[in-house]
Amino acid sequence: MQNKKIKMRKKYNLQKSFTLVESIIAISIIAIAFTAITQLFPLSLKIENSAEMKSRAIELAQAKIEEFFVNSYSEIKCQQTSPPCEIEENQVPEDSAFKRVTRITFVNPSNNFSESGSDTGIKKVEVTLYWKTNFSQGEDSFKIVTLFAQK
Amino acid sequence: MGMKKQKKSFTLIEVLVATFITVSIIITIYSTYTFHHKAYQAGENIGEVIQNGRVILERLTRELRQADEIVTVLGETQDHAADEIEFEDGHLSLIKETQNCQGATQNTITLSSNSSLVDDYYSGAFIKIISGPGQGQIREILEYNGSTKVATIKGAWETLPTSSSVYKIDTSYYYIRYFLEQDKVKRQVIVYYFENDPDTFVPWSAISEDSQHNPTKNQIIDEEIIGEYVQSLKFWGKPLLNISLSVKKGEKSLNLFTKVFGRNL
Repeated sequence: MQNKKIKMRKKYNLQKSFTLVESIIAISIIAIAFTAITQLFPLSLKIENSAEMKSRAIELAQAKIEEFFVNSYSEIKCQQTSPPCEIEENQVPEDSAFKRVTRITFVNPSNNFSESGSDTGIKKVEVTLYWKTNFSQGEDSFKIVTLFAQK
Repeated sequence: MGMKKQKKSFTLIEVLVATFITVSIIITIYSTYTFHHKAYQAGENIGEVIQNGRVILERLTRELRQADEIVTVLGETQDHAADEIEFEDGHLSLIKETQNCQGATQNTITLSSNSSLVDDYYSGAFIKIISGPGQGQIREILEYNGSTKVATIKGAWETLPTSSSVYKIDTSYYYIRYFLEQDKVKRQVIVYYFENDPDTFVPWSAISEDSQHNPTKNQIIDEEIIGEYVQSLKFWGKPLLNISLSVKKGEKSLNLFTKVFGRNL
């Protein structure tokens, strides 16, 4: 009996095990890490936020294009200079979260609509919207292009 | 006594540790669940808000681009913006027909045998029963079959027209009105007429040619909800129309702004 007890003691003492404090710390670390990781998960929110920004950008880009519809062909230009030129609005007046760049160029219909230095009777208007994304420090953009032909 | 001591049981510490572990697991699971539930709801709100905003603007800009005349007085700046807009529909081709109908079922009407052969020729137009059974009813035609002459109407007839009913289709003057009612954007189709001749639609600003110079009366012939969760809807400027729309659901709000050029204005 005595021998057996000593043997068991030895056996137990030899066995390596976590202390109570160790296991509690380990569990709390796991719990904290787990919650921290899950907070990163809602990717859907990220995507939906980017969809929202894109929707706003589309409407603002379309708004700029519509402004040109009012004008005749010769009036489609930047404030002073004639194409090729660029209008840069660092903040869109109606929505300051966006930057809007409008580029007007001449394109050549007989050369696959490539840019041309002289007036070919067709103007290309490219409206690009830029905005900062919430999650990463990145920038996103959206562009629409349209052509105006001389009548 | 010896026997009792040998009986295996949990020590107080073991029980405490076990409880602590269980509790922390439950808390973790629960907080993850609530967090994701909140994220889901937020996501749903964003989706709903974007969807409503886009649908409203899409329909508005499409119809305004083609409008023939804007009835509402629009201010030049956002401070003088209107919160509704009424304009003359410019999408339908001109149809003016007064004919005998061949019969009807609950949600169809068979037009006269000399009606158009083209499918969907009358789609979007309104048909009014001007005499005979079912007189006075106006319904929108949704579909039309050029070979059978059967037109499907929106909704149902209250009184069925018969072969002795006379109908009139006149697309010359339909007016569309978008407005905000509580948090819903609604679209109405309105026609104007003179009291002595309710079957002839006239321009909204017309004045009767008789000695009384009566103004027009109007009738709403269709009303539908276009979008909801709308906080404000503003229109200003002409012919380059500015539209500002703000949609909000829960804590999520979305402000959309666009411009549309009415090419016929």
